[in-house]
Amino acid sequence: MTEYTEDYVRKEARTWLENNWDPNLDLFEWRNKLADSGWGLPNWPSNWYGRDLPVGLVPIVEEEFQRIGALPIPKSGIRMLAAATILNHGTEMHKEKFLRRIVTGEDVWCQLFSEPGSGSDLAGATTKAVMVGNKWVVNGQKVWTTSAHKAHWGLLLARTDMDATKHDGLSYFIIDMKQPGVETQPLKQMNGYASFNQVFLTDAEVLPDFQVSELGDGWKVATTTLMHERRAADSLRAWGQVPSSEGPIYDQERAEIETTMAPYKWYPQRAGRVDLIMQRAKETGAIKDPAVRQEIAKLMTLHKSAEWTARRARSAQEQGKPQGPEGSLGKLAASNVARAAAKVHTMISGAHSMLSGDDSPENGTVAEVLISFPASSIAGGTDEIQKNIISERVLDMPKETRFDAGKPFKDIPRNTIS
Amino acid sequence: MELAFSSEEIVFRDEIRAFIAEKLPESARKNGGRWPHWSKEDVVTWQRILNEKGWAVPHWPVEYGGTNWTAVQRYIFIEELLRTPTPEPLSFNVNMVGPVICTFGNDGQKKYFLPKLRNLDIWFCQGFSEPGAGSDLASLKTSAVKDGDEYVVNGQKIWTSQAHNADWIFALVRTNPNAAKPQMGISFLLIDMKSEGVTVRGIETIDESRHVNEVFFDNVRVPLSNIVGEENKGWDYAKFLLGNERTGIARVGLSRERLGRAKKLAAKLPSFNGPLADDPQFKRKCATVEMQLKSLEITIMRIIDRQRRRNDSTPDPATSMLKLRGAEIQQTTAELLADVAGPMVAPTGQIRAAYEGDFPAELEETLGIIPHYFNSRAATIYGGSNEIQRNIISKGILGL
Amino acid sequence: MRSNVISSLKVFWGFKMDFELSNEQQLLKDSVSRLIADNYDLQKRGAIIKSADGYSKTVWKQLADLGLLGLSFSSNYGGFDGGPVEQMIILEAFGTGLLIEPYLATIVLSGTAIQSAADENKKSELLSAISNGDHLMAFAHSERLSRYQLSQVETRAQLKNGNWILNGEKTTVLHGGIADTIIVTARTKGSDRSTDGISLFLVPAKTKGITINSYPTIDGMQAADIKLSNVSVPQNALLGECDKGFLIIENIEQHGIAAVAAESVGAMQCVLDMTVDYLKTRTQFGRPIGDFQVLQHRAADMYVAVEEARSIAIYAAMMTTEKDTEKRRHAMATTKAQIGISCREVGQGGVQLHGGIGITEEYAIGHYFKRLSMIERQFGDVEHHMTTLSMMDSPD
Repeated sequence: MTEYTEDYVRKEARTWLENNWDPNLDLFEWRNKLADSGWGLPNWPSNWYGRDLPVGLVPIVEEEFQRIGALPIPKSGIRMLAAATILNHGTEMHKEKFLRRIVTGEDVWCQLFSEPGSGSDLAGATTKAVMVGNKWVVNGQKVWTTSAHKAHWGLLLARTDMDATKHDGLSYFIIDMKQPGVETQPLKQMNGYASFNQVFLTDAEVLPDFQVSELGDGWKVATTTLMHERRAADSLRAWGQVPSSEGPIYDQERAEIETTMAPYKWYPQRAGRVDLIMQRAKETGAIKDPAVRQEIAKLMTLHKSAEWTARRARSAQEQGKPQGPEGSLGKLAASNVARAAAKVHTMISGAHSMLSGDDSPENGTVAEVLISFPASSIAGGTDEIQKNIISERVLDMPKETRFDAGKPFKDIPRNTIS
Repeated sequence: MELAFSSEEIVFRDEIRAFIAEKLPESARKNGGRWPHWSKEDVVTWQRILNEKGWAVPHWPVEYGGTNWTAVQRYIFIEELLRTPTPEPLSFNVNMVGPVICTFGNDGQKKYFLPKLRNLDIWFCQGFSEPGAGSDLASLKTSAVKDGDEYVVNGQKIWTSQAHNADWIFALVRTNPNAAKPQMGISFLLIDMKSEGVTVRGIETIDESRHVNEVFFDNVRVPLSNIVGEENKGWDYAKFLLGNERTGIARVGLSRERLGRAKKLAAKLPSFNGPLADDPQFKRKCATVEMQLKSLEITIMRIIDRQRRRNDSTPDPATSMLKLRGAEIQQTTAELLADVAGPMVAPTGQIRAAYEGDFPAELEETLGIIPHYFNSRAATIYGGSNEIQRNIISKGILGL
Repeated sequence: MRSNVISSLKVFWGFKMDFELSNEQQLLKDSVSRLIADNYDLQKRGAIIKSADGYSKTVWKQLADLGLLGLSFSSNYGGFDGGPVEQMIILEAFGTGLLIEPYLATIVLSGTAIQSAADENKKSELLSAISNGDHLMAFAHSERLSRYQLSQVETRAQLKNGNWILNGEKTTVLHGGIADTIIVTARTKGSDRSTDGISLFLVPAKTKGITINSYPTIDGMQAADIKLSNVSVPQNALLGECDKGFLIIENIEQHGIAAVAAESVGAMQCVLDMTVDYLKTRTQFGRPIGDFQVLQHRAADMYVAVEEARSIAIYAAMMTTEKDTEKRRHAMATTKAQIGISCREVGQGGVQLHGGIGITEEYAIGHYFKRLSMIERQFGDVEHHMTTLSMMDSPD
């Protein structure tokens, strides 16, 4: 095994960037260079656009990107979940066909898991895929689908066997979103955004090659996707940071962020915008109020332990340990921080926190925090579901009595709306 | 709707206050803030003082010594006792076995027990919980088998408060092991603690005092006449007992007393800028507790009022809310007091001995604080844990 | 020292850190854990509490023989140059066994005082003496009405005829009754609350004029109230610079915070493990009570609290060596606030989920609860540190 040193990697990355980075390149031209060289995702396998670097050294490379002002590959959105899932469970064909365009950002992905009748109980999906001739034909409805209207590809969880038990009857597919049988409809949220869609699948088609893993393995594969999603919800990630540098390639990335990142614009608000707290407290003079200061201190303490918990999780990941149920810990911690931050924002801004528009605090950002933070305890698995995961899978407590275990799915009581 | 006490009620409260101020013995007054607090003697003496005044068992029927007070007056009375604080009237006697005998006992039992219960000539304890039957009380196993004109009792009770002081125990025992439902084979039996075969073993608790015990029954012979009501109907009586006079269960007065003590202590201790009592955080915490107590008290008044209207002796599931919140606030106030005392809570009671008779009296006031706090943790466990109370609310009120 | 080995190098956001233990650290952990498992079951611990000295001379000797007492001291003074991580490992293991040995008093608090303030002679004399287990020390700082205010010192020291004369009263001095040397803080000038004008003195416990009333504390440790009446010590008993003791005291407290943070993590993990075990075995209503979701979620909340505490204890260990006073102060206040929150959540949760047996002396859980309740209040409680933090600007 090659043993790299931090200095060696830094020097290598720096040399490559100095020779290749050019702000006058076209965005996709640049990203293809990244894909070819492996510097975009250096911890990925070297045969798949990476350099086999340990995750622990990725920040070194990122530092070098930042130093020179080079644009990284687009790591936000569902596409990285798709990549992780494909790397773990996909066939060579899947990797060949999808990974490069994920790295370059040319394809937009979405996740078709939740349904109106299966929210916390994702495995209760009733969208059906039936083999007709030599194709899978899919019928059903999905919901909470970020970017569905922009997406080229969807990660689909569908039921292929009504006689099997709930978990065993599911299969996992990659579905072409640009086909007549796929219709999307935006869902408007109380914070004014429409980040999500409903997706109606009416005789939509999937080629057999686009099935991921074995038939009936759908839940297992979905779990990989979900664990990566939960980890992404820890408090360390900055969503959709817009570059501030000038130049055509930056404009191009800004435009990309504007379109593909639009659904995530409120995510920082959902996370509570802890970064704005001190500034707001100083601006408003609330910093002089001992009660506010005390609450800020509480928030910062919570934030600090959440941050260090996330660091420990990262470190474990860097050791090459597989993503486990601990992702739930980070997600719970993040929603606690969001809740506390919203409270402090309210204390700081008082009644003004309800305003939106030009005269409002931070152009309505604070108001957005107040109506967005509850989503952090719901989306991607509610706090209650995270606690279930912790108690059953981390603490190994008795499994909750399941009324659907061992029964064929068709015999399990279900919501009628789907 | 009337949310404040009426002027008659205020007069009544003042009368109670004056009486307590005049009659509470010095020893009981002194022991109130200490840990462990009142001695058996303190409790007995005070109960007899109340009995002499005719206030020993306000909520009993008048013929058995009750006062005919309104529910609000009874509430005021018990809260005044708690907030002083005075020794608490022994709940096993006055709130539990007394009302059960009043309602379901035969004439002989009434005649023999009721006067003695009032005057604390007989001290009862409660034998319900068993090692395997806590929250799931109906799964109790202690058996009573008929043999001639006696029951033979075998089994074990646990968490029996005051068993070491008690003369009698009222116990739930299984008289029909083959009943269709476990609840249907249980009887309510009065057992003399001096009977042969009764063994009491103290359980040491983390609050440095002895108040709970295990009670073992080894072929204990109990006259058939000691059964209360009908055989195998014990579960109903137990439910009656647990539903009886539940409004006092929130123990608002106890929390008020602790809050008052916390404030007094805080005035003597430093914070960052001046005394802790002036610290904005501390004041806010106190204000929060006061707000919670006020909401709780008004809720109690509403439930009392509703009970009066519904005129129904079955337990009101809403009283679970009182137990739930009352216990939580008791814990909050015990916590608050312990937080004020801060590092001063460290010494155990053995510090008295360490000073060899030269113990500074002012240390007494902080000495009971942490045992109180430890003990308060049990408030959400005994008498139906908070989890059980929430179950009752979700089933009994919300229909889930 | 291992920067050339990629597999153990961890880089994150400019911090290098390795949350995994090295082989040596794992060995250390195993040997401390074994020592504790052999000597500290609940019964043996109970016997130690009841013994005259309130600690086990045998265990103390073993700790010394294993090199654990001097682990974090410099090898110049007979130590092993251990770092904060090693200290954390030891204390976490101590927390697991609810150790009541005078480690905090002698090694952490007094050791820090000596290391940070003593001259070379005293360092080599005292550090090696406490490392080999022959000498016990205590740190006498709190006074009856000082609560958590570190600068509240009414005990006075005056220089008379070349001797320091000490007068005053100290309370709840951890292991004050068995100490051979007591570090006493006293005011050498200024008003009762001033940070300026406090000094530290090394006072042999047998010095005339000292009255010690020793008693067990609620968590099974030993503490003492110490009265000083015209206690006379030579001029060189002064530890550190005259009048400038406050920073030393603060530093001692910060090491104390990092230590109890690690200790509490060990204790909390035990509480969580015992509670989960109990939930799996205790049966009510015909099934294990761990089957009930409401209890599962409380256990999950406890788990989150333990992990938060573990994270912050690691942070604290790292920050004990931070040179910037403000940053260190901020970090330690953050640590102690989080530790306090977690101790309460885990301790109370453990008792609640155990039901009645949770408050008995017979079961371990109550003993852990007591220690956690004490740690909550040791070196400042949550509110105290929150207020400290609220008066500072975050250095992040």
